[in-house]
Amino acid sequence: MLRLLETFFRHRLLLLGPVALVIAGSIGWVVIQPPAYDSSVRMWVERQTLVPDPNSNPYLSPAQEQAAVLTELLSTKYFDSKVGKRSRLADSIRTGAAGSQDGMMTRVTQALARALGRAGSPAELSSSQVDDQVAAIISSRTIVIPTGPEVITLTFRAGSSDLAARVAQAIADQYLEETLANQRVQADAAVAFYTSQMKQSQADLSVADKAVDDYLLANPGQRGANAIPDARLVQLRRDDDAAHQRLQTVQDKLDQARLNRVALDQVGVNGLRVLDRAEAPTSPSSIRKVALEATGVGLVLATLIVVVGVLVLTWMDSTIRRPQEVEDILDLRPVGSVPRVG
Amino acid sequence: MAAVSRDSLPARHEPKPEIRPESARRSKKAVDEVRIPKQMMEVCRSASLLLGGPNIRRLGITSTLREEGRSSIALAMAVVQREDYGRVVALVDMDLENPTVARGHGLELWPGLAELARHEATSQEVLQPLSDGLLVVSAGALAASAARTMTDIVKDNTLGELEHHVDVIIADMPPLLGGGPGSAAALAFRDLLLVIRAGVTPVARIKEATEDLQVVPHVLLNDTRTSLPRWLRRLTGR
Repeated sequence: MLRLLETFFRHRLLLLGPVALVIAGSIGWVVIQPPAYDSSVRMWVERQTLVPDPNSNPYLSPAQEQAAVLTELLSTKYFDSKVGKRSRLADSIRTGAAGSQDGMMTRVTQALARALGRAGSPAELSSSQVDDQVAAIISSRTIVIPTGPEVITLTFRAGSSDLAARVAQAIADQYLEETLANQRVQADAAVAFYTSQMKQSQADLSVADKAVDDYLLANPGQRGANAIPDARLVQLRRDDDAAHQRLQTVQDKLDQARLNRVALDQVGVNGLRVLDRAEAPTSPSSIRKVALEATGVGLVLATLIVVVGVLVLTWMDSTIRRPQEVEDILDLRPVGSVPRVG
Repeated sequence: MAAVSRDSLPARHEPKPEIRPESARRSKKAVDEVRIPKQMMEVCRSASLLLGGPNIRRLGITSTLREEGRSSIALAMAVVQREDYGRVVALVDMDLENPTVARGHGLELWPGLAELARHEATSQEVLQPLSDGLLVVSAGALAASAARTMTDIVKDNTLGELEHHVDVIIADMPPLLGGGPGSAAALAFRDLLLVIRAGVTPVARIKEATEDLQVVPHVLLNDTRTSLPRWLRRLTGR
Protein backbone atom coordinates (compact mmCIF):
# COMPACT_ATOMS: atom_id res chain seq x y z
CA MET A 1 0.00 0.00 0.00
CA LEU A 2 2.77 2.42 0.96
CA ARG A 3 4.62 1.51 -2.20
CA LEU A 4 1.55 2.43 -4.22
CA LEU A 5 1.23 5.71 -2.34
CA GLU A 6 4.89 6.46 -2.94
CA THR A 7 4.43 5.74 -6.64
CA PHE A 8 1.50 8.12 -6.74
CA PHE A 9 3.37 10.97 -5.06
CA ARG A 10 6.52 10.31 -7.08
CA HIS A 11 4.65 10.54 -10.37
CA ARG A 12 1.92 12.91 -9.24
CA LEU A 13 2.30 15.26 -12.18
CA LEU A 14 2.22 12.41 -14.66
CA LEU A 15 -0.88 10.95 -13.03
CA LEU A 16 -2.72 14.16 -12.29
CA GLY A 17 -2.11 15.59 -15.76
CA PRO A 18 -4.59 13.25 -17.47
CA VAL A 19 -6.99 13.75 -14.56
CA ALA A 20 -6.90 17.50 -15.17
CA LEU A 21 -7.52 16.85 -18.86
CA VAL A 22 -10.52 14.67 -18.03
CA ILE A 23 -11.93 17.35 -15.74
CA ALA A 24 -11.40 19.99 -18.42
CA GLY A 25 -13.04 17.67 -20.95
CA SER A 26 -16.05 17.17 -18.66
CA ILE A 27 -16.47 20.90 -18.18
CA GLY A 28 -16.10 21.44 -21.92
CA TRP A 29 -18.68 18.75 -22.59
CA VAL A 30 -21.18 20.47 -20.33
CA VAL A 31 -20.49 23.84 -21.93
CA ILE A 32 -20.95 22.70 -25.55
CA GLN A 33 -24.21 20.88 -24.93
CA PRO A 34 -27.05 22.48 -26.90
CA PRO A 35 -30.14 23.63 -24.97
CA ALA A 36 -32.50 20.75 -24.31
CA TYR A 37 -36.24 20.81 -23.70
CA ASP A 38 -38.13 18.34 -21.55
CA SER A 39 -41.77 17.62 -22.13
CA SER A 40 -43.79 15.34 -19.84
CA VAL A 41 -47.01 13.37 -20.00
CA ARG A 42 -48.73 12.09 -16.89
CA MET A 43 -50.85 8.97 -17.19
CA TRP A 44 -53.33 7.47 -14.78
CA VAL A 45 -53.10 3.72 -14.44
CA GLU A 46 -55.27 1.53 -12.26
CA ARG A 47 -56.05 -2.10 -11.89
CA GLN A 48 -58.73 -3.21 -14.32
CA THR A 49 -61.87 -4.33 -12.61
CA LEU A 50 -64.21 -4.78 -15.52
CA VAL A 51 -61.64 -6.46 -17.75
CA PRO A 52 -59.32 -8.49 -15.52
CA ASP A 53 -55.66 -8.69 -16.55
CA PRO A 54 -54.28 -12.21 -16.02
CA ASN A 55 -50.69 -10.88 -15.97
CA SER A 56 -51.31 -8.41 -13.17
CA ASN A 57 -48.78 -8.65 -10.32
CA PRO A 58 -50.47 -8.02 -6.94
CA TYR A 59 -47.15 -7.09 -5.30
CA LEU A 60 -46.49 -4.09 -7.55
CA SER A 61 -48.44 -0.89 -7.77
CA PRO A 62 -50.23 -0.39 -11.10
CA ALA A 63 -47.86 2.50 -11.89
CA GLN A 64 -44.76 0.36 -11.30
CA GLU A 65 -46.21 -2.41 -13.41
CA GLN A 66 -47.12 -0.21 -16.34
CA ALA A 67 -43.87 1.79 -16.14
CA ALA A 68 -41.93 -1.44 -16.48
CA VAL A 69 -44.02 -2.49 -19.46
CA LEU A 70 -43.62 0.89 -21.14
CA THR A 71 -39.85 0.87 -20.55
CA GLU A 72 -39.67 -2.55 -22.15
CA LEU A 73 -41.61 -1.35 -25.12
CA LEU A 74 -39.38 1.71 -25.51
CA SER A 75 -36.42 -0.56 -26.00
CA THR A 76 -38.03 -2.19 -29.03
CA LYS A 77 -37.55 -0.93 -32.54
CA TYR A 78 -41.15 -1.94 -33.37
CA PHE A 79 -42.62 0.46 -30.80
CA ASP A 80 -40.11 3.26 -31.42
CA SER A 81 -40.62 3.25 -35.17
CA LYS A 82 -44.37 3.57 -34.64
CA VAL A 83 -43.77 6.48 -32.28
CA GLY A 84 -41.40 7.96 -34.86
CA LYS A 85 -44.06 7.85 -37.52
CA ARG A 86 -46.78 9.11 -35.19
CA SER A 87 -44.71 12.04 -33.96
CA ARG A 88 -43.12 12.79 -37.35
CA LEU A 89 -39.73 12.36 -35.74
CA ALA A 90 -38.83 9.99 -38.55
CA ASP A 91 -39.68 12.67 -41.10
CA SER A 92 -37.55 15.18 -39.23
CA ILE A 93 -34.61 12.79 -39.28
CA ARG A 94 -35.11 11.99 -42.93
CA THR A 95 -35.11 15.65 -43.89
CA GLY A 96 -32.33 16.56 -41.47
CA ALA A 97 -34.50 18.88 -39.44
CA ALA A 98 -33.85 16.85 -36.34
CA GLY A 99 -30.21 17.91 -36.33
CA SER A 100 -30.91 20.42 -33.65
CA GLN A 101 -31.49 17.65 -31.16
CA ASP A 102 -28.02 16.17 -31.63
CA GLY A 103 -25.15 17.12 -29.42
CA MET A 104 -22.51 19.56 -30.61
CA MET A 105 -19.98 16.79 -31.13
CA THR A 106 -22.38 14.77 -33.28
CA ARG A 107 -23.18 17.79 -35.39
CA VAL A 108 -19.51 18.69 -35.81
CA THR A 109 -18.67 15.09 -36.73
CA GLN A 110 -21.51 14.92 -39.22
CA ALA A 111 -20.51 18.24 -40.76
CA LEU A 112 -16.91 17.10 -41.09
CA ALA A 113 -17.95 13.79 -42.61
CA ARG A 114 -20.17 15.61 -45.07
CA ALA A 115 -17.40 18.05 -45.95
CA LEU A 116 -15.04 15.15 -46.60
CA GLY A 117 -17.66 13.45 -48.73
CA ARG A 118 -17.70 10.41 -46.49
CA ALA A 119 -21.30 10.63 -45.45
CA GLY A 120 -24.44 10.97 -47.46
CA SER A 121 -26.96 13.69 -46.89
CA PRO A 122 -29.80 12.91 -44.48
CA ALA A 123 -32.18 12.58 -47.42
CA GLU A 124 -30.28 9.50 -48.53
CA LEU A 125 -31.02 7.60 -45.36
CA SER A 126 -32.85 4.33 -45.88
CA SER A 127 -35.99 3.62 -43.89
CA SER A 128 -34.08 1.08 -41.83
CA GLN A 129 -31.45 3.67 -40.96
CA VAL A 130 -34.15 6.15 -40.04
CA ASP A 131 -35.81 3.56 -37.82
CA ASP A 132 -32.48 2.86 -36.16
CA GLN A 133 -31.93 6.53 -35.45
CA VAL A 134 -35.49 6.95 -34.20
CA ALA A 135 -35.09 3.96 -31.89
CA ALA A 136 -31.75 5.26 -30.61
CA ILE A 137 -33.14 8.71 -29.92
CA ILE A 138 -36.36 7.57 -28.28
CA SER A 139 -34.85 4.86 -26.12
CA SER A 140 -32.04 7.07 -24.88
CA ARG A 141 -33.99 10.27 -24.24
CA THR A 142 -37.15 8.96 -22.66
CA ILE A 143 -37.56 8.57 -18.93
CA VAL A 144 -40.52 6.70 -17.46
CA ILE A 145 -41.02 7.08 -13.72
CA PRO A 146 -43.91 5.90 -11.54
CA THR A 147 -44.46 9.12 -9.60
CA GLY A 148 -47.22 7.63 -7.47
CA PRO A 149 -49.05 4.34 -7.01
CA GLU A 150 -51.23 5.08 -10.01
CA VAL A 151 -49.46 7.84 -11.91
CA ILE A 152 -46.71 7.44 -14.48
CA THR A 153 -44.68 10.43 -15.64
CA LEU A 154 -43.17 10.07 -19.06
CA THR A 155 -40.53 12.66 -20.06
CA PHE A 156 -38.85 13.09 -23.42
CA ARG A 157 -35.88 15.39 -24.04
CA ALA A 158 -35.25 16.99 -27.41
CA GLY A 159 -33.45 19.89 -28.98
CA SER A 160 -36.66 21.77 -29.69
CA SER A 161 -39.66 22.28 -27.45
CA ASP A 162 -42.13 21.39 -30.17
CA LEU A 163 -40.44 18.09 -30.97
CA ALA A 164 -40.18 17.20 -27.29
CA ALA A 165 -43.92 17.68 -26.81
CA ARG A 166 -44.82 15.81 -29.99
CA VAL A 167 -42.73 12.77 -29.23
CA ALA A 168 -43.75 12.60 -25.56
CA GLN A 169 -47.41 12.68 -26.51
CA ALA A 170 -46.87 10.18 -29.30
CA ILE A 171 -45.23 7.74 -26.89
CA ALA A 172 -48.17 7.97 -24.51
CA ASP A 173 -50.73 7.62 -27.30
CA GLN A 174 -48.89 4.72 -28.87
CA TYR A 175 -48.66 2.98 -25.52
CA LEU A 176 -52.38 3.36 -24.88
CA GLU A 177 -53.10 2.06 -28.34
CA GLU A 178 -50.75 -0.88 -27.97
CA THR A 179 -52.21 -1.85 -24.61
CA LEU A 180 -55.76 -1.54 -25.86
CA ALA A 181 -55.03 -3.42 -29.07
CA ASN A 182 -53.40 -6.19 -27.10
CA GLN A 183 -56.39 -6.51 -24.81
CA ARG A 184 -58.80 -6.42 -27.73
CA VAL A 185 -56.93 -9.22 -29.44
CA GLN A 186 -57.16 -11.27 -26.26
CA ALA A 187 -60.87 -10.51 -25.88
CA ASP A 188 -61.54 -11.41 -29.53
CA ALA A 189 -59.70 -14.65 -29.07
CA ALA A 190 -61.76 -15.41 -25.96
CA VAL A 191 -65.03 -14.69 -27.79
CA ALA A 192 -64.01 -16.88 -30.72
CA PHE A 193 -62.96 -19.68 -28.42
CA TYR A 194 -66.12 -19.66 -26.31
CA THR A 195 -68.31 -19.40 -29.42
CA SER A 196 -66.82 -22.61 -30.76
CA GLN A 197 -67.18 -24.20 -27.32
CA MET A 198 -70.80 -23.08 -27.29
CA LYS A 199 -71.51 -24.82 -30.57
CA GLN A 200 -69.91 -28.00 -29.34
CA SER A 201 -71.89 -27.89 -26.09
CA GLN A 202 -75.14 -27.33 -27.96
CA ALA A 203 -74.42 -30.34 -30.17
CA ASP A 204 -73.61 -32.47 -27.10
CA LEU A 205 -76.87 -31.37 -25.47
CA SER A 206 -78.88 -32.27 -28.55
CA VAL A 207 -77.34 -35.76 -28.58
CA ALA A 208 -78.08 -36.24 -24.86
CA ASP A 209 -81.71 -35.06 -25.26
CA LYS A 210 -82.24 -37.35 -28.23
CA ALA A 211 -80.81 -40.34 -26.34
CA VAL A 212 -83.29 -39.81 -23.48
CA ASP A 213 -86.23 -39.39 -25.91
CA ASP A 214 -85.25 -42.49 -27.88
CA TYR A 215 -85.00 -44.57 -24.74
CA LEU A 216 -88.41 -43.45 -23.51
CA LEU A 217 -89.87 -44.22 -26.94
CA ALA A 218 -88.45 -47.69 -26.81
CA ASN A 219 -89.53 -48.22 -23.20
CA PRO A 220 -93.03 -46.72 -22.75
CA GLY A 221 -93.24 -48.17 -19.22
CA GLN A 222 -90.67 -45.70 -18.08
CA ARG A 223 -92.77 -42.71 -19.18
CA GLY A 224 -95.21 -42.76 -16.30
CA ALA A 225 -94.76 -40.19 -13.60
CA ASN A 226 -94.78 -42.89 -10.95
CA ALA A 227 -92.65 -45.29 -12.91
CA ILE A 228 -89.41 -46.28 -11.22
CA PRO A 229 -86.64 -45.40 -13.72
CA ASP A 230 -84.25 -48.15 -14.54
CA ALA A 231 -80.46 -47.76 -14.36
CA ARG A 232 -80.07 -46.99 -18.03
CA LEU A 233 -82.60 -44.15 -17.97
CA VAL A 234 -81.02 -42.72 -14.84
CA GLN A 235 -77.63 -42.66 -16.59
CA LEU A 236 -79.06 -41.03 -19.70
CA ARG A 237 -80.77 -38.32 -17.66
CA ARG A 238 -77.56 -37.62 -15.76
CA ASP A 239 -75.68 -37.20 -19.03
CA ASP A 240 -78.38 -34.87 -20.25
CA ASP A 241 -78.18 -32.75 -17.08
CA ALA A 242 -74.38 -32.55 -17.39
CA ALA A 243 -74.69 -31.39 -21.00
CA HIS A 244 -77.13 -28.71 -19.87
CA GLN A 245 -74.74 -27.56 -17.17
CA ARG A 246 -71.76 -27.42 -19.54
CA LEU A 247 -73.76 -25.41 -22.02
CA GLN A 248 -74.76 -22.96 -19.30
CA THR A 249 -71.17 -22.54 -18.15
CA VAL A 250 -69.88 -21.92 -21.65
CA GLN A 251 -72.75 -19.52 -22.25
CA ASP A 252 -71.75 -17.53 -19.14
CA LYS A 253 -68.13 -17.34 -20.24
CA LEU A 254 -69.09 -16.32 -23.73
CA ASP A 255 -71.27 -13.57 -22.33
CA GLN A 256 -68.36 -12.36 -20.14
CA ALA A 257 -65.94 -12.40 -23.09
CA ARG A 258 -68.39 -10.45 -25.23
CA LEU A 259 -68.86 -7.99 -22.40
CA ASN A 260 -65.09 -7.53 -22.10
CA ARG A 261 -64.77 -6.98 -25.81
CA VAL A 262 -67.52 -4.40 -25.83
CA ALA A 263 -66.06 -2.73 -22.73
CA LEU A 264 -62.70 -2.32 -24.42
CA ASP A 265 -64.34 -0.03 -26.94
CA GLN A 266 -65.18 2.36 -24.13
CA VAL A 267 -62.59 5.02 -23.15
CA GLY A 268 -60.69 4.37 -19.89
CA VAL A 269 -61.99 0.90 -19.35
CA ASN A 270 -58.52 -0.63 -19.81
CA GLY A 271 -57.30 1.28 -16.74
CA LEU A 272 -55.10 3.73 -18.65
CA ARG A 273 -55.78 7.36 -19.51
CA VAL A 274 -53.76 10.49 -20.04
CA LEU A 275 -54.12 13.05 -17.26
CA ASP A 276 -51.73 15.77 -18.45
CA ARG A 277 -51.01 15.97 -22.12
CA ALA A 278 -47.53 16.95 -23.31
CA GLU A 279 -47.02 20.66 -23.74
CA ALA A 280 -44.20 22.46 -25.47
CA PRO A 281 -41.89 23.79 -22.73
CA THR A 282 -41.23 27.51 -22.82
CA SER A 283 -37.66 27.36 -21.48
CA PRO A 284 -34.82 24.86 -21.80
CA SER A 285 -34.37 22.39 -19.00
CA SER A 286 -31.64 22.78 -16.40
CA ILE A 287 -28.14 21.60 -17.29
CA ARG A 288 -27.85 20.09 -13.83
CA LYS A 289 -28.46 16.59 -15.12
CA VAL A 290 -25.84 16.94 -17.85
CA ALA A 291 -23.43 18.46 -15.34
CA LEU A 292 -24.02 15.62 -12.89
CA GLU A 293 -23.54 13.04 -15.62
CA ALA A 294 -20.35 14.71 -16.78
CA THR A 295 -19.09 14.94 -13.21
CA GLY A 296 -19.86 11.27 -12.59
CA VAL A 297 -18.21 10.12 -15.79
CA GLY A 298 -15.25 12.43 -15.16
CA LEU A 299 -14.77 11.14 -11.63
CA VAL A 300 -14.95 7.51 -12.70
CA LEU A 301 -12.52 8.11 -15.54
CA ALA A 302 -10.12 10.10 -13.37
CA THR A 303 -10.16 7.43 -10.66
CA LEU A 304 -9.55 4.78 -13.27
CA ILE A 305 -6.60 6.68 -14.71
CA VAL A 306 -5.01 7.19 -11.30
CA VAL A 307 -5.57 3.62 -10.10
CA VAL A 308 -4.42 1.96 -13.32
CA GLY A 309 -1.54 4.43 -13.65
CA VAL A 310 -0.30 3.79 -10.12
CA LEU A 311 -0.58 0.02 -10.56
CA VAL A 312 1.23 0.06 -13.89
CA LEU A 313 3.98 2.40 -12.69
CA THR A 314 4.48 0.33 -9.54
CA TRP A 315 4.57 -2.84 -11.55
CA MET A 316 7.08 -1.33 -13.97
CA ASP A 317 9.35 -0.04 -11.20
CA SER A 318 12.03 -2.71 -10.98
CA THR A 319 14.37 -0.85 -8.66
CA ILE A 320 15.20 -1.14 -4.99
CA ARG A 321 13.90 1.71 -2.86
CA ARG A 322 13.91 0.48 0.73
CA PRO A 323 16.40 -1.56 2.80
CA GLN A 324 13.69 -4.15 3.42
CA GLU A 325 13.57 -4.83 -0.30
CA VAL A 326 17.29 -5.63 -0.31
CA GLU A 327 16.54 -8.62 1.87
CA ASP A 328 13.23 -9.55 0.30
CA ILE A 329 14.17 -9.23 -3.35
CA LEU A 330 17.95 -9.62 -3.50
CA ASP A 331 18.40 -11.88 -0.49
CA LEU A 332 21.39 -9.76 0.55
CA ARG A 333 22.11 -8.12 3.87
CA PRO A 334 21.58 -4.35 4.04
CA VAL A 335 23.93 -2.44 6.33
CA GLY A 336 22.37 1.00 5.94
CA SER A 337 20.69 3.49 3.73
CA VAL A 338 21.97 6.96 2.99
CA PRO A 339 19.21 9.52 2.56
CA ARG A 340 19.34 11.92 -0.34
CA VAL A 341 21.36 14.98 0.58
CA GLY A 342 20.05 18.35 -0.50
CA MET B 1 30.64 17.82 8.18
CA ALA B 2 33.57 15.68 9.17
CA ALA B 3 36.86 17.47 8.70
CA VAL B 4 40.40 16.26 9.13
CA SER B 5 43.51 18.30 8.52
CA ARG B 6 46.34 17.33 6.31
CA ASP B 7 49.50 16.11 7.88
CA SER B 8 52.96 15.41 6.63
CA LEU B 9 53.32 11.79 5.69
CA PRO B 10 55.93 9.56 4.11
CA ALA B 11 58.06 11.12 1.45
CA ARG B 12 56.77 10.38 -1.98
CA HIS B 13 57.74 10.63 -5.54
CA GLU B 14 56.99 13.99 -7.07
CA PRO B 15 56.09 13.76 -10.75
CA LYS B 16 57.81 15.95 -13.18
CA PRO B 17 56.16 19.37 -13.31
CA GLU B 18 55.87 19.36 -17.07
CA ILE B 19 53.80 16.19 -17.15
CA ARG B 20 51.66 16.92 -14.08
CA PRO B 21 48.08 17.37 -15.22
CA GLU B 22 46.31 20.65 -14.85
CA SER B 23 43.85 19.18 -12.38
CA ALA B 24 46.63 18.26 -10.02
CA ARG B 25 47.92 21.82 -9.94
CA ARG B 26 44.52 23.18 -9.14
CA SER B 27 43.36 24.37 -5.77
CA LYS B 28 44.65 22.39 -2.87
CA LYS B 29 41.81 23.25 -0.58
CA ALA B 30 40.20 19.84 -1.02
CA VAL B 31 43.30 18.25 0.39
CA ASP B 32 43.04 20.29 3.55
CA GLU B 33 39.51 19.43 4.24
CA VAL B 34 37.52 16.27 3.55
CA ARG B 35 33.89 17.24 3.50
CA ILE B 36 31.31 14.49 3.83
CA PRO B 37 27.65 15.04 4.62
CA LYS B 38 26.86 14.29 8.23
CA GLN B 39 24.02 11.88 7.44
CA MET B 40 26.25 9.87 5.16
CA MET B 41 28.90 9.74 7.90
CA GLU B 42 26.38 8.43 10.41
CA VAL B 43 25.15 5.72 8.08
CA CYS B 44 28.70 4.70 7.18
CA ARG B 45 29.56 4.62 10.88
CA SER B 46 26.77 2.11 11.51
CA ALA B 47 27.66 0.15 8.41
CA SER B 48 31.29 0.03 9.43
CA LEU B 49 30.32 -1.44 12.79
CA LEU B 50 28.17 -4.09 11.13
CA LEU B 51 31.05 -4.98 8.81
CA GLY B 52 33.51 -5.53 11.65
CA GLY B 53 34.51 -2.06 12.79
CA PRO B 54 38.18 -2.06 13.87
CA ASN B 55 38.69 -5.62 12.60
CA ILE B 56 38.27 -4.84 8.94
CA ARG B 57 41.52 -5.33 7.05
CA ARG B 58 40.43 -4.90 3.47
CA LEU B 59 37.08 -3.63 2.25
CA GLY B 60 36.04 -3.26 -1.37
CA ILE B 61 33.38 -0.72 -2.19
CA THR B 62 31.67 -1.55 -5.45
CA SER B 63 28.45 -0.99 -7.32
CA THR B 64 26.49 -2.50 -10.15
CA LEU B 65 26.79 0.46 -12.49
CA ARG B 66 28.53 3.82 -12.47
CA GLU B 67 27.08 6.90 -10.78
CA GLU B 68 25.74 5.04 -7.77
CA GLY B 69 27.76 7.00 -5.20
CA ARG B 70 30.52 4.44 -4.76
CA SER B 71 33.43 6.89 -4.40
CA SER B 72 31.65 9.07 -1.83
CA ILE B 73 30.80 6.03 0.27
CA ALA B 74 34.38 4.75 0.00
CA LEU B 75 35.74 8.07 1.22
CA ALA B 76 33.22 8.18 4.07
CA MET B 77 34.10 4.63 5.14
CA ALA B 78 37.78 5.56 5.11
CA VAL B 79 37.16 8.64 7.24
CA VAL B 80 35.09 6.57 9.70
CA GLN B 81 37.93 4.08 10.10
CA ARG B 82 40.32 6.93 10.76
CA GLU B 83 38.14 9.02 13.04
CA ASP B 84 36.39 6.33 15.05
CA TYR B 85 39.11 3.77 15.45
CA GLY B 86 42.24 5.88 14.93
CA ARG B 87 43.50 3.52 12.27
CA VAL B 88 45.79 4.42 9.40
CA VAL B 89 43.69 4.05 6.31
CA ALA B 90 44.59 3.66 2.65
CA LEU B 91 41.88 4.69 0.25
CA VAL B 92 42.82 2.88 -2.96
CA ASP B 93 41.40 3.96 -6.26
CA MET B 94 40.98 0.70 -8.15
CA ASP B 95 38.75 2.17 -10.83
CA LEU B 96 41.56 2.10 -13.36
CA GLU B 97 39.46 3.20 -16.32
CA ASN B 98 37.81 6.14 -14.65
CA PRO B 99 39.85 7.20 -11.60
CA THR B 100 38.30 10.03 -9.61
CA VAL B 101 39.71 9.94 -6.09
CA ALA B 102 43.06 11.61 -6.70
CA ARG B 103 41.66 14.10 -9.18
CA GLY B 104 38.78 14.95 -6.88
CA HIS B 105 41.12 15.85 -4.03
CA GLY B 106 43.83 17.54 -6.03
CA LEU B 107 46.34 14.76 -5.55
CA GLU B 108 48.88 13.37 -7.96
CA LEU B 109 47.44 10.98 -10.54
CA TRP B 110 50.60 8.86 -10.53
CA PRO B 111 52.47 6.92 -9.44
CA GLY B 112 49.66 4.76 -8.16
CA LEU B 113 48.32 1.27 -8.06
CA ALA B 114 49.27 0.51 -11.66
CA GLU B 115 52.88 1.53 -11.07
CA LEU B 116 52.95 -0.48 -7.86
CA ALA B 117 51.68 -3.55 -9.73
CA ARG B 118 54.41 -3.05 -12.35
CA HIS B 119 56.99 -2.59 -9.58
CA GLU B 120 57.83 0.83 -10.94
CA ALA B 121 57.09 2.46 -7.59
CA THR B 122 57.22 1.39 -3.97
CA SER B 123 54.34 1.28 -1.55
CA GLN B 124 55.59 4.36 0.22
CA GLU B 125 55.83 6.26 -3.02
CA VAL B 126 52.23 5.62 -4.02
CA LEU B 127 50.68 6.49 -0.66
CA GLN B 128 49.62 10.14 -0.78
CA PRO B 129 48.39 11.82 2.37
CA LEU B 130 44.90 13.29 2.22
CA SER B 131 44.67 14.04 5.90
CA ASP B 132 46.10 12.82 9.15
CA GLY B 133 46.19 9.01 8.94
CA LEU B 134 44.20 8.96 5.75
CA LEU B 135 46.24 8.05 2.69
CA VAL B 136 45.20 7.82 -0.92
CA VAL B 137 46.55 5.52 -3.60
CA SER B 138 45.60 6.80 -7.01
CA ALA B 139 44.90 4.45 -9.90
CA GLY B 140 48.11 5.39 -11.70
CA ALA B 141 48.88 5.31 -15.38
CA LEU B 142 47.93 2.20 -17.33
CA ALA B 143 50.59 0.55 -19.43
CA ALA B 144 48.33 -2.32 -20.50
CA SER B 145 44.61 -2.79 -20.57
CA ALA B 146 42.66 -2.20 -17.38
CA ALA B 147 41.62 -5.85 -17.26
CA ARG B 148 45.20 -7.03 -17.63
CA THR B 149 46.45 -4.63 -14.99
CA MET B 150 43.66 -5.64 -12.59
CA THR B 151 44.48 -9.31 -13.11
CA ASP B 152 48.12 -8.56 -12.21
CA ILE B 153 47.06 -6.61 -9.13
CA VAL B 154 44.93 -9.48 -7.88
CA LYS B 155 47.36 -12.24 -8.86
CA ASP B 156 50.41 -10.54 -7.33
CA ASN B 157 48.47 -9.45 -4.24
CA THR B 158 49.55 -5.87 -4.76
CA LEU B 159 47.16 -4.75 -2.03
CA GLY B 160 49.05 -7.01 0.36
CA GLU B 161 52.10 -4.82 -0.09
CA LEU B 162 50.10 -1.80 1.00
CA GLU B 163 48.79 -3.62 4.04
CA HIS B 164 52.28 -3.51 5.54
CA HIS B 165 52.03 0.27 5.82
CA VAL B 166 48.41 0.80 6.84
CA ASP B 167 45.86 -0.73 9.20
CA VAL B 168 43.04 -1.00 6.74
CA ILE B 169 42.52 -0.72 3.00
CA ILE B 170 39.31 0.78 1.64
CA ALA B 171 39.12 0.29 -2.12
CA ASP B 172 37.04 2.30 -4.52
CA MET B 173 36.43 -0.50 -7.00
CA PRO B 174 35.18 -0.35 -10.57
CA PRO B 175 31.50 -1.19 -11.12
CA LEU B 176 30.71 -4.87 -11.52
CA LEU B 177 28.91 -4.41 -14.84
CA GLY B 178 29.78 -2.33 -17.84
CA GLY B 179 32.58 -4.40 -19.29
CA GLY B 180 35.20 -3.20 -16.80
CA PRO B 181 37.40 -5.27 -14.50
CA GLY B 182 34.95 -5.03 -11.61
CA SER B 183 34.44 -8.76 -11.20
CA ALA B 184 38.18 -9.39 -11.34
CA ALA B 185 38.82 -6.72 -8.70
CA ALA B 186 36.26 -8.36 -6.40
CA LEU B 187 38.49 -11.42 -6.16
CA ALA B 188 40.94 -9.41 -4.04
CA PHE B 189 38.42 -8.88 -1.21
CA ARG B 190 36.74 -10.98 1.40
CA ASP B 191 34.53 -8.10 2.44
CA LEU B 192 32.53 -6.31 -0.21
CA LEU B 193 30.14 -3.44 0.18
CA LEU B 194 27.75 -3.06 -2.74
CA VAL B 195 26.43 0.45 -3.14
CA ILE B 196 22.99 0.59 -4.76
CA ARG B 197 21.43 3.87 -5.76
CA ALA B 198 17.82 3.65 -4.64
CA GLY B 199 15.21 3.91 -7.36
CA VAL B 200 17.75 3.83 -10.17
CA THR B 201 19.51 0.50 -10.51
CA PRO B 202 17.25 -2.25 -11.87
CA VAL B 203 16.99 -5.39 -9.77
CA ALA B 204 17.83 -7.57 -12.76
CA ARG B 205 21.16 -5.79 -13.24
CA ILE B 206 22.00 -6.09 -9.55
CA LYS B 207 21.30 -9.82 -9.64
CA GLU B 208 23.33 -10.16 -12.80
CA ALA B 209 26.22 -8.33 -11.15
CA THR B 210 26.21 -10.30 -7.91
CA GLU B 211 25.52 -13.82 -9.14
CA ASP B 212 29.16 -14.51 -10.06
CA LEU B 213 30.74 -12.96 -6.98
CA GLN B 214 32.65 -15.36 -4.76
CA VAL B 215 31.67 -13.48 -1.62
CA VAL B 216 28.21 -12.35 -0.62
CA PRO B 217 28.33 -8.57 -0.56
CA HIS B 218 26.71 -6.37 2.03
CA VAL B 219 24.49 -3.67 0.62
CA LEU B 220 24.42 0.03 1.33
CA LEU B 221 21.41 1.74 -0.19
CA ASN B 222 22.37 5.21 -1.37
CA ASP B 223 20.32 8.26 -2.12
CA THR B 224 17.09 6.96 -0.61
CA ARG B 225 14.19 9.34 -0.59
CA THR B 226 10.54 8.98 0.20
CA SER B 227 8.11 10.81 -2.00
CA LEU B 228 5.40 10.75 0.65
CA PRO B 229 4.44 14.19 1.91
CA ARG B 230 5.31 15.03 5.50
CA TRP B 231 1.75 14.70 6.79
CA LEU B 232 1.47 11.21 5.33
CA ARG B 233 4.83 10.20 6.76
CA ARG B 234 3.62 11.30 10.18
CA LEU B 235 0.40 9.39 9.67
CA THR B 236 2.13 6.18 8.66
CA GLY B 237 4.97 6.56 11.14
CA ARG B 238 7.68 6.57 8.47
